Amino acid sequence: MKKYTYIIFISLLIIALQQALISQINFFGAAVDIVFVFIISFALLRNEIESVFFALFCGVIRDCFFPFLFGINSIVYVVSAYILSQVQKRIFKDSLIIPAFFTFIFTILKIVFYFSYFYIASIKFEFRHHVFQLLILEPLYNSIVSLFLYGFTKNICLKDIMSDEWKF
Amino acid sequence: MDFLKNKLLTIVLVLCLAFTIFVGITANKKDNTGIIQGAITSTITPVQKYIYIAGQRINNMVYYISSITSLRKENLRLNLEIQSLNKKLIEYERYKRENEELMSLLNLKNTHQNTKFTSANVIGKVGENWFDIIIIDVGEDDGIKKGQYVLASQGLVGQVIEVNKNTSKVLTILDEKSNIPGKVSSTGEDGMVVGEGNSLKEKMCKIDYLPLETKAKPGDLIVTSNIINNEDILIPSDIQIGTIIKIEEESNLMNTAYIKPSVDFSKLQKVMVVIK
Repeated sequence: MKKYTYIIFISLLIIALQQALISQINFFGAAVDIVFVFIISFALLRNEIESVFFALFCGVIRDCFFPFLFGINSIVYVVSAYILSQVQKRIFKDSLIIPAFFTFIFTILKIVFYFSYFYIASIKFEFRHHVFQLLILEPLYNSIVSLFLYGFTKNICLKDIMSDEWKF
Repeated sequence: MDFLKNKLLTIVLVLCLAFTIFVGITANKKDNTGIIQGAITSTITPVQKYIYIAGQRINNMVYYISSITSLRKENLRLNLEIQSLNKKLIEYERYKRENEELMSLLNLKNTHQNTKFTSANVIGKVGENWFDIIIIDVGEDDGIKKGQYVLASQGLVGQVIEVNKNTSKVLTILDEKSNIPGKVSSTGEDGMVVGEGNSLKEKMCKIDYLPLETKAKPGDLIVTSNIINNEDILIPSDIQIGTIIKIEEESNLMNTAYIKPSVDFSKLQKVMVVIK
């Protein structure tokens, strides 16, 4: 249980940081989404239950602050965390290219997902206005940030509180 | 835990279905409010407030250091501006006196008197890269209602779109979804102020539906107009939105003018909400 309290504490801190600070800093109209980067790094390092729990918690809180719709962030976060936690069992994870690559791919998927949900909810966007910022800049920024955050997440996961107990 | 591990795929699918239903419900209402949502929002808000203030302090410090080199140039420019404004002030005093005299002759009431403001702190920006929405720390308890205008000291910031118990979301004028009636202050032509979607450099907004034979020119001020009437909320007129940068002909029926907002959205800390 201690482990989950720790996860909740970290996710609250990250969300507050994202909404108060990181989303203010934008270059060429696109900002980094560190919550998503954290979820991907976490899913690459921990087991599937923890990563889905982390993603669900972050998603619900971010949805509370999201305008017009409730639920998109949760779906995107939970699905990406689940898929990645299935993938991570089968790959070699020590290279830094891996988190950057997965962040890039999943950010693009996330954007397509958002856009389709907005379309269904009849919130109209001129997609071609956003293509450059969203499909190129945001994935790029996210994957650059993930290079740093992956190491940080690794440190968090190495804490005593996060260690799994052996069962015989 | 083993049970959870075996059934995780089912759980994920059920969660997706549940959240899709939530999306459907909230999309129908066009409004993301509720008891649980309100409770979570008001627990996170205090933490976020302090982080936001700390961030603004750092931002100010960086700005101060980077602006030292351009201070002298700016000082000269401001001195020139003061001279021209002083001339205008004398003119303004004369017009004001004349106006008051004429008003009293006609027995007209002055309409700009009882506007009430509530001051608020900005505590965050949400909506990822899709929306331009800020959160402020006043809500239903302070008498905030949907649709009220939010101002900063330099001009208009936006309009309240969602109200919780202690917080509210404000759609800024940079967003594509914001539709605020405005007019060109020199010519009095009405139009609709919306955000400009694709701008890689600096975010701007534009005023649509200006007539083809418009006399507006770059440098003119855009202000709000109270052309629409709402019983519940007060829509103030003559609040500065920005200055025109360029005018373009859009289709063959109307002109569009691009506006540089007078509010600096990256350094927003204190705002005011206009209440009745």
